[in-house]
Amino acid sequence: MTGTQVKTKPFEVALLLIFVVVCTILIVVIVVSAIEQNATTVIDQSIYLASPTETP
Amino acid sequence: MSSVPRTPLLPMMRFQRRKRLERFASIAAIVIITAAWFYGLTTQHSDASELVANVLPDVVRVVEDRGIFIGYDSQDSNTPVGYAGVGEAVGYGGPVRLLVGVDPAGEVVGIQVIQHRETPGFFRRLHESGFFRQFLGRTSDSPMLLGQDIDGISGATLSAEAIAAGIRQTVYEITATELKPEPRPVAFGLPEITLIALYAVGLFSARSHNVHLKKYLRIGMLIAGVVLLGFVFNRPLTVAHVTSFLAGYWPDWRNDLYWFLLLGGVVLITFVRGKNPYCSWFCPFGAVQECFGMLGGAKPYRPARLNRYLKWFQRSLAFAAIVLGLALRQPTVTSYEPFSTLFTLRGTLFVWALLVIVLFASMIIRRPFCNYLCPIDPVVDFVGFVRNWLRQQ
Repeated sequence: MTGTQVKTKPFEVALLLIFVVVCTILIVVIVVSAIEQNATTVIDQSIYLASPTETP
Repeated sequence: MSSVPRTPLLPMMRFQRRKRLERFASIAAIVIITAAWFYGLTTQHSDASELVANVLPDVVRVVEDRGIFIGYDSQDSNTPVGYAGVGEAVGYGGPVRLLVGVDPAGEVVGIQVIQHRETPGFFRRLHESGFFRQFLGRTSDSPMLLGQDIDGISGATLSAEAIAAGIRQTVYEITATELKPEPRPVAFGLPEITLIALYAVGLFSARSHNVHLKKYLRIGMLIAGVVLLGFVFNRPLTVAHVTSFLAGYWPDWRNDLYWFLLLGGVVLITFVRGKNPYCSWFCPFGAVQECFGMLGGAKPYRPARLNRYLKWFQRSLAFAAIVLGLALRQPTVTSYEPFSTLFTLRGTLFVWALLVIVLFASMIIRRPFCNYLCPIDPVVDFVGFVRNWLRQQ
């Protein structure tokens, strides 16, 4: 975030803030759903079983 | 009430105060990351003995001897009907632990994943495609190598490699013939050569005084980054690399030299030269954002008053991703970058939404994800900050 400082207009600041807020909400949702999905995966270990008695 | 005029802080004092704040924040960050590391380490556990019956179906009684589970088909029997052992190898998101069952003839009869930290969707594909079943009936005489007697699964190569390595190691141990060294030579192919070439061109470019040459070299590196690191290899640098490194989930260097070159190269060059080589030289996602920026005529948005707060916000996001990844011992789940979705065209609805918003925003704001959200930039900045701090001492 270095370089020449460019004058940023108020509506551009608003646009930037909207971008950061919306993306942050999405990031939180992505991480929370990934944690929940992974927790389910670790519990349901039987789906990663391979044995002669397993039904493919 | 008399009003005392406030003396404005001199720029130098403000600068020194900011530096002190940054140093304090750095020390606090290291302390919290260390605490998260200990928390994650002490809370992870799994007992494999209860799962032995899943990989040795006829077993009634299990006795553990030097880390190997010996199975008997009755309470009184002294003749083993099978053996089971736990194998572990590092995949994309951390160690993959497996329980492997072997019959007295030395053939694999059952495999169960005890724990993994891979991306769930990709890992599930391994099971659905019958990857695990390829190992049934194999013995220690089989190479059990991807590309030889085992077929890999596109998009989940690192997870597949880890599973194969874990099973191989366990079968060798159980058969107790001898602990064979890894038969596979060091993996050194096009991805590693590309990465080294990109670093070399970047270093050459940084030393060059020819402005036009630097410009063309940078364009060439960005194209190579998008095409090769992005679409062909699909292995850009993510926060999962950093968290895996801190968690101690280092892959076998012979199988995954690229991992060490990518992470080590960025840290080393930043530490020696004080400049972030990856983000500006060949980050594939940064290059894609620049392409969209050229299409829409994007310009850098740097509001003077907000800039500092936005930078701290970006650092906080990166910090939270690392701390959470370490505390959960799951580096991939907090890797929120939409890189993988762009380069594989696979992802959840929310990651797609993030990707589309970032790409649209890239047409107006120059590199919006890199400048305001990406966790890699603050991590590399931190390395540079430590470097400068040490040089001042």
